[in-house]
Amino acid sequence: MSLLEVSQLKVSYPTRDGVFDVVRDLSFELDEADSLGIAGESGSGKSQTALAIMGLLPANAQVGGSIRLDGQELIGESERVLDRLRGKSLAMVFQDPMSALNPYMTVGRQIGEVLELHQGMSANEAAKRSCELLQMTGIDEPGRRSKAYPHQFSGGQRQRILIAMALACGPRLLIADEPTTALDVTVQKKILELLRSLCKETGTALILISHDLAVLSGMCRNLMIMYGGREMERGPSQRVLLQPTHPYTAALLRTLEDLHGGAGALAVIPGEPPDLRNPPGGCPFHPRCSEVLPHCSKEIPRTRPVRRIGDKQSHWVACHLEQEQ
Amino acid sequence: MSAVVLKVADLRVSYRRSGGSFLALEGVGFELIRGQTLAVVGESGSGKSTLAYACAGLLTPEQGSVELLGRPLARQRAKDLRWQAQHLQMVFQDPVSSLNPRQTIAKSLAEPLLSVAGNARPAAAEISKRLAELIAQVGLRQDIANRYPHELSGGQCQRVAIARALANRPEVLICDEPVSALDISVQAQVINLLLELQQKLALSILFIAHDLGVVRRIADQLIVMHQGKIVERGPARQILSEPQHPYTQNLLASEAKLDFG
Repeated sequence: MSLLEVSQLKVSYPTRDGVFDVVRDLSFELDEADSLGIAGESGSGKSQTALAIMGLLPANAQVGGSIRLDGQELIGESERVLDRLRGKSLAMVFQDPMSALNPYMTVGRQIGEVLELHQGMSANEAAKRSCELLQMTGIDEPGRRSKAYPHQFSGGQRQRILIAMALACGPRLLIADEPTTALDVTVQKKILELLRSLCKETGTALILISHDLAVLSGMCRNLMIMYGGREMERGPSQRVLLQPTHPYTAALLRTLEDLHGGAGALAVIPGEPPDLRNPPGGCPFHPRCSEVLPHCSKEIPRTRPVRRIGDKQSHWVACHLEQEQ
Repeated sequence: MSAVVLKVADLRVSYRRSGGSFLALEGVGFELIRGQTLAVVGESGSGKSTLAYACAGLLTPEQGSVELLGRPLARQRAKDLRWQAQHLQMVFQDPVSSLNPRQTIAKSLAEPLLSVAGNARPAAAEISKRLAELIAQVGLRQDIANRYPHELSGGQCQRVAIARALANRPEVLICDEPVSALDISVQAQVINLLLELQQKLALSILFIAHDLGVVRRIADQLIVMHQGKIVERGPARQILSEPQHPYTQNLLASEAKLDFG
């Protein structure tokens, strides 16, 4: 059994103009201590997927399908049970560390609160452990700094504090949603290195979400590419990057590589990301796809294993083209 | 006509804050050559946006000068402001908030045409002809004119913002992180548009960015800023292939690159 099993996940929002699906037919698994990178543009459904796993979707969201952690179904579970899981088994690091921290509370208190709540520590024990956690995430002079407030730290340091808080109770799964997007590149590199080494040391499974394939490629063993609320391609990172099978993945990689070399006009993916209020029929990528087939606009491609002779790697793609070959 | 369109010398800007002042720019100077792109790269707090604002006349430096087409920027008289708006325009990072949400795209685009005209208001037919030109120039469909910003995507809004900046045919365009808020697949489209417009209109561009990735394709000259000062400057190609300053080297080394294992 995998640590996390997501099956046929669907997230939608009812509005005055009808029901909008933001995640559709999403299935994937994640093993203990493994890592998965979810890549996608805005509106791809990557953050909605993270929030669905955490049980943090807004009250008006409609969730279907199944999310199992260690075999336990999370969809439809009570807030009381979810509250016990969050922090203890599941933890999340958000994009904007400033708004994820309480501005009126010292950072030591904020980390200590998690420990008291989930591990029944006394205030003194929690304070001591908070300092250790701050030290572990690379905050200098943790004894003194634990008494400081969030605004007294830099953006990178705040993200370190959030990571300390997320790992405080030794969760099985850590979800980091664009943890470095708000940071400078030199700081981004350090934070990613910290995340990777801590997850490895503690055996925590990691779901890293980013719009930047380059960030994910060095961090995660597996990759999932999302577009328009659907999974386009999933497999071992090196396989997906070296042998991209979905035209969207291939086009994204061309754009990225072109950005770092070459001359003249940049390779582009024509068109705009899909409007969720009025999604295209069939495959969501078909209006922008360079290899579009007649039935791409009518029929949603099922996710199928990529067929290669003598191949046991689990590489999946949702594209009619693969079926034709 | 001189080849230098924007000349900045010995700029110093500081912000007041509790318990003293914060020096945002010190001793910054450069020349932007006609038809070229000068990129300014730096991380948050490096002073790059302050520099953009000072060049656009949106803030007054304590010391130093900014000359646009040989004339020092003066912000006192309406006549000076109009002259400046005709020759220098700015494109901001967030395309949605840089457009008025309660105005149609056509109205937003017509505003700069009316504002620089003073008393000589152009005829309605003239305005609508120019609007159609502008919309086509940035690669949008004409029916966008009657829509509102919230009906457009981020990439489309940025195209509108570019069209609006170009309305009065300025010589100098200041772009402050024009693609940072856009998706990767749309970033390349907007960069290509800027490259194309620059060639067609002989624009001189001051391009502010926080990463070196987008700058590679567009910059002729490059300035690297750190803590309010210029740490390295020169031809972009040379700096990107052989960075001399340790800070530039670190910036280049920190860029996330595709890791194929």
